[in-house]
Amino acid sequence: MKEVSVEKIISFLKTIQASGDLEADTLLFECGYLDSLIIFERLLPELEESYGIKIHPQDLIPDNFESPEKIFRYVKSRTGQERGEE
Amino acid sequence: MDTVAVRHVMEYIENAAQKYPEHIAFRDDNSEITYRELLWRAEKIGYHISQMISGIRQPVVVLMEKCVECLTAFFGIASSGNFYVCIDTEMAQERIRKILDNLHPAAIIRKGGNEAGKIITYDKCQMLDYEECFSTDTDEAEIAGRLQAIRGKMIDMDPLYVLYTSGSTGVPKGSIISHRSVIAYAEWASRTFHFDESAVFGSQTPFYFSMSVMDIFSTVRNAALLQIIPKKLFSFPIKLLEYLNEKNVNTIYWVPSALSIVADWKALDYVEVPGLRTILFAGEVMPAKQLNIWRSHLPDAVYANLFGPTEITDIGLYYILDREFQNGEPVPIGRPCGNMDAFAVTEEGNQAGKGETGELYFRGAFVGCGYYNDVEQTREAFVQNPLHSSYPDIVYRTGDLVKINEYNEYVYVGRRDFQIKHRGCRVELGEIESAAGACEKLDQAVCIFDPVRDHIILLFQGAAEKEDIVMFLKELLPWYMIPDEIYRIRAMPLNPNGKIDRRLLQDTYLEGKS
Repeated sequence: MKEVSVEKIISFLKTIQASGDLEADTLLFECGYLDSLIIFERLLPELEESYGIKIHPQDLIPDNFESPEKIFRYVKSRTGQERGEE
Repeated sequence: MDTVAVRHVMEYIENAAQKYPEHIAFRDDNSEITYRELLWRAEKIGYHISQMISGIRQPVVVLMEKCVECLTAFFGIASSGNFYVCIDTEMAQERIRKILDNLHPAAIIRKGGNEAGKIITYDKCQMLDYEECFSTDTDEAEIAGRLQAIRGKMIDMDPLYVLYTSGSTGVPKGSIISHRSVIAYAEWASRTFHFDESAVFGSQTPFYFSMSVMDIFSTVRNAALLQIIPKKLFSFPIKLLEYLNEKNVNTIYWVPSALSIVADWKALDYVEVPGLRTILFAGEVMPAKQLNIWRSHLPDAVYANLFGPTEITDIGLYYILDREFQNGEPVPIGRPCGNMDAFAVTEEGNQAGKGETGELYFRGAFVGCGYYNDVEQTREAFVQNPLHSSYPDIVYRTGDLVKINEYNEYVYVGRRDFQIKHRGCRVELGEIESAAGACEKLDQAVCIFDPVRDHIILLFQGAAEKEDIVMFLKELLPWYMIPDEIYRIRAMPLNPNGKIDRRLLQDTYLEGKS
């Protein structure tokens, strides 16, 4: 399983949309990097597959996805949990 | 309902402003506008435009994000005797350029300052700032007099808006829709779904999508409220439902993918939305699986599947759910709306009967006036009724194949372009797709055809095993419809309209393998 980092999140987001500057605190919805199609068809499958986590409906809140930093923190907290559960 | 026929959509605003002046017409997270103010602002804008450009029936672009001011501008343009064209600041620059090249607008209305860096440079027409329209004090009588004179020159067949869709050649086509069509549509929708001034529409679709026509004009026809839902919320299903409750939304007309996300992520298990009473959908096939999840949580709501293209205002067929559907079973698209007629023509040129498949045609009040500045494309799609030649009878040819079921309802089969000949048999790729869609652990399926090798290729998203899919399909389909190749893909590629990019799939899976 991959170890999560902000850089990895950013580079994945760049594979979806190459243009523009993408920083750890870029607001992904406001800047057009994320919308519902991208989040459900691309981002969530990628996070679940690459980091072996299961995303729960209650986790789908802006606070977990608004910026690369927030996605990173969310995934990190989930991977910690998944391991703990094993 | 008075019996005098409405001829201009501004009459809806005038009626609403008279009866319910303090009702809120449109609301987003930044602002709201009452009917009284909407009428006042629309007339100010209308007057301003009429001073700027000569003549009426000219295209005027509204270049804004989805907001209250954008809607207000639409009605301002309508009151000036011109027609509006919505260009969202989110659209790709290239697409905006192509639209402007086809349209040659007389003016462009913008809202100063908040175009998220996407300022369009265009010097071939006048630019108007939204706020400018309200900066000058003009005598109310002068405004009323001028707008009345304009109204006197108009008929209900004059264009109200032009809405661009992506053409197959990559050049957007602008469907021209008249006041008459929109009024006929709003009247039908209001009567059919019992809309009144208590309706609160939760608007999901962009204003450059034809589905928004239902939201906008059913709202003003009934002095109801249109609540613009922030786009971001469609990524957060639980938050989305909480928002509907908070804003008292009771009517939604969404694309199936938005409804499906709510169902798939079990948001209805976490948040109850008891206020929702009318749930309408169109634009794509609504899978019964996700629809059943909605129905089990909200059994008393009215559900309807609407069907039609932008060229006929919004839709021309509808089906109000009145029976149960098994997962995977197609939800019919039903019967024609009021003052609309639909018929299907078989390959042999006859009208299709029960059990037969044919290409769908529409005639009636919602049918638009053709494509703007495009005589050729208009001639191809707006044609003489193929069933007779006794008098001019222009009908719209959809390119969609439909079947008539045992209930005499139309059922969508697929695009005419997706019909293929495989091992000597005529096959609808859409039929294989919808059969596969019912398979366990399969989220989405797309079929493409390789004519060189005579192979049907099924691409799917989900955890299902290929062998299980084949076993499952063999139960449902004749032998010649079983795919020759099956591939799992991680995510369906989407085109700029959010639909599955079949061309890209074809390029990837056909050429790469030949």
